Amino acid sequence: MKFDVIIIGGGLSGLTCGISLSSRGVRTALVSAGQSSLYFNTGSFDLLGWDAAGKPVSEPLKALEGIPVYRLLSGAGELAGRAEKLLRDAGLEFEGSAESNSYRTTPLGIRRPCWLVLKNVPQAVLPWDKSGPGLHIQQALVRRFRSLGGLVLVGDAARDGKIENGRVTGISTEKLGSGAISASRYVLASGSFMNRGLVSTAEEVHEPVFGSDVVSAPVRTDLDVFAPQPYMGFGVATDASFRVLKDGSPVSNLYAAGQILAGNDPIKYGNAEGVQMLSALQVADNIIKEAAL
Amino acid sequence: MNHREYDVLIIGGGITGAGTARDCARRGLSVLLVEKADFCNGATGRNHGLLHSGARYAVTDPVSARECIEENRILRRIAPHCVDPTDGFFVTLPEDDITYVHKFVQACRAAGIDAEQVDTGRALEMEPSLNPDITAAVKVPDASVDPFRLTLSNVLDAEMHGAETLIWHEAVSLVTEGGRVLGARLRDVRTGEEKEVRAAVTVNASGIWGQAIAAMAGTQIRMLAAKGALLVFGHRVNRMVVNRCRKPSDGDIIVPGEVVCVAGTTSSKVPFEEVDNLRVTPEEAALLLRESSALMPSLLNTRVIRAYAGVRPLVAADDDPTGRKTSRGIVCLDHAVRDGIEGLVSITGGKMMTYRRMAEEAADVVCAKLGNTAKCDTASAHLPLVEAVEEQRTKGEPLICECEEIDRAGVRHAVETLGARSLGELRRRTRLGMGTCQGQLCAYRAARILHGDDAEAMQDDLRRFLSERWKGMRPIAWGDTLAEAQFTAYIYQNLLGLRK
Ligand SMILES: Cc1cc2nc3c(=O)[nH]c(=O)nc-3n(C[C@H](O)[C@H](O)[C@H](O)COP(=O)(O)OP(=O)(O)OC[C@H]3O[C@@H](n4cnc5c(N)ncnc54)[C@H](O)[C@@H]3O)c2cc1C
Repeated sequence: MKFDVIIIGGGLSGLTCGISLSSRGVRTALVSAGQSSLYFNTGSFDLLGWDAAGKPVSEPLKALEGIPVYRLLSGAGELAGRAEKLLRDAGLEFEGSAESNSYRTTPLGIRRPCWLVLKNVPQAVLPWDKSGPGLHIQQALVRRFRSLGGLVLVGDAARDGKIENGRVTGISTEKLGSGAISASRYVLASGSFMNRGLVSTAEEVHEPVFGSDVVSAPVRTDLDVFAPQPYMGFGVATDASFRVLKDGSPVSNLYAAGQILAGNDPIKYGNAEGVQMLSALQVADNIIKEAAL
Repeated sequence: MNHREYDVLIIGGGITGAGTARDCARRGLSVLLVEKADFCNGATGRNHGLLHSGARYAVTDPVSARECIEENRILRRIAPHCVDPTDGFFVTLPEDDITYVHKFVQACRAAGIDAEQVDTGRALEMEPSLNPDITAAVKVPDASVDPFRLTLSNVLDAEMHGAETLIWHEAVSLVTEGGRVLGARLRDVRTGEEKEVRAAVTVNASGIWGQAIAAMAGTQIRMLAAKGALLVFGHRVNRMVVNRCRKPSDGDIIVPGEVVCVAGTTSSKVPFEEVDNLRVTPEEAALLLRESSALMPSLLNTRVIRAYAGVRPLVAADDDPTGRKTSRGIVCLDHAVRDGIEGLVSITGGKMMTYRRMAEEAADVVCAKLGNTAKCDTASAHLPLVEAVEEQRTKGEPLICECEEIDRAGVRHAVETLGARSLGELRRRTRLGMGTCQGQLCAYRAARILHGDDAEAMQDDLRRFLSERWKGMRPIAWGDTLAEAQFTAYIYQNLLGLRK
């Protein structure tokens, strides 16, 4: 089967990218291995909770400049508005906006800033309860993507990406084997270590599907568990339009979005969902523009 | 304030102190056991959990070997709930000296250890995780012992016989008068409050910290702190204890324990200042992985879930001024005889699994001083169970810790009977969080039961828990362990909002 775009990763960035593309008529397939952190979402979204100095942010839009990943976007404010609309169009109701952070109280009784708080979602008994809000959000987005004509390969994993002359020429999937699906463009939205988008050994860190260039550092961790951890910012290297680098040069039809992008620490900044959605929308725009699809 | 005078004050809540408290209490003495942190804070909570058969020492230290096999037999009998009778193998790899095997078997037999050479094919059937290239295998009565359960059983039995115990109380000085030790000043490390307790005899059972206690009395026990690092693997790869058949060396023991297995160990001298804050280096982790996977190749594909380290308190022989000659055997010092200081006894050295004998030796000295003639019965009296028994189990409710199968009733039991007040104390009393998930999810559930509506206490406890867990993950922050570390951070720091 031939598609315009194949997205690798069924989390918030993959689904956002898929919805944005297919709503504009791009034939999109999404390969989802089911390691998404969306499942654990407690019903709220972050755009920017803390600045680089660790101070809580009250007006995120005014503070996005200079924040990793956001600084590569063309108009983060506009993208944030589109992200909100995308969620609403998927049938998700929420309170809050990118103009000013709201606060939520976590199950530990801690108040922390956040962007959007979903309404009418089942409350999680435990934060990792897969029947809670995370699953609800995930299902709403998958429904939306499908209603726009998108195809989801559930429980399948991409592997053996082939790159020839600076282009991706094919991938395999665990269930379908090699060459069963292909596309003109690919998006790597496979997340970080916890989602297996990145894999590490004691010696190195790699991106397992394409062997993309990875930004990492010899020191991975800080002694203090609550200090920013260098490994959080490890990820694939890209050019300014989020095209993945391999051996130092951009792969012309391979983009990256979401947590797999290098340089961001979603815990330090409290920006996980914002980075996932906004970078995914940006990648979708870049693809549309460059392909003139 | 504690105005009464005890027969015996025991300093140190490791296995030696707990065992001594039990022995003294059973002989009818009034006992106070004090521990500066929680029980098992020292070497007792940071070792291999091997119930030695003595085989490891048979060639190099026959006296220790004999002590081990005798205590091995006793502990199987008096503490079946703490011992998993796995048996063990000593195996020879192609690069090892095959002639050592004969010497080893002979030495074991001489020490009274049932060592039986087994055909390698048969050995591989019995222990499929072994390297198929082994050239010899000797079966010995090694076993796995749970250090936490064993210590808490001793504490509980001591309490059942009238002993009092105080955790989070540090002996900061000894009360002395005219060359006699009359007791100690204790500081409650959580409130800073101090008080004095008096006892006819004070027992120094403080492991490596014992040298500091001796110094408080104005004498010296010279000790070397030998750090040993260990790795915990995410499931129980071996059924039996696996040892390398060579002179004791780095990384040659793998002990199964409940749902995991533990590989160790190393030996490096560390300065005394470091003993309260031991860290495993990535180099030690790499060495252990290399050596243990030579014995059991599938360890290379098994997740390492935690690295930790303990120190062996090696006591320098009194007759050796260089301090290099150390004894691995039991050291029981009556300071009245050794230094002219009445009222102080030090008990150290030995091994965890020879604790009962160490306790007996110390209690004998104490009793002689007090004119108590009761006989030691710890070799025959069973140790009490510490976990909630079947009838107390919660029916039809989800487990709190899936890996270790601990339910709500198990947690409550640990709180009510064993005094657990925090996640760390709960872990040492129930094994909660010691299995494959390392408490990733159960810590939160358990914290809710422990702290109820006290949000601040719950946050503080979880912060400590995450810091402690991180310490064990950091030296092995790669592969699935790094992925799990990130997931834990995402759950606790991002979703639950726990920040510094
Ligand atoms: C890496 C390693 C592996 C080992 N493996 C095994 C094994 O497999 N099998 C085995 O049998 N043995 C093993 N051992 C040996 C065994 O761990 C020790 O011999 C044993 O645990 C010592 O117990 P202890 O009670 O004497 O000392 P500790 O357990 O160190 O207890 C001393 C206690 O005193 C407390 N304390 C110190 N100062 C004060 C104070 N001022 N006031 C109040 N309290 C104080 C400390 O907090 C501590 O809890 C191993 C040791 C190491 C290091």
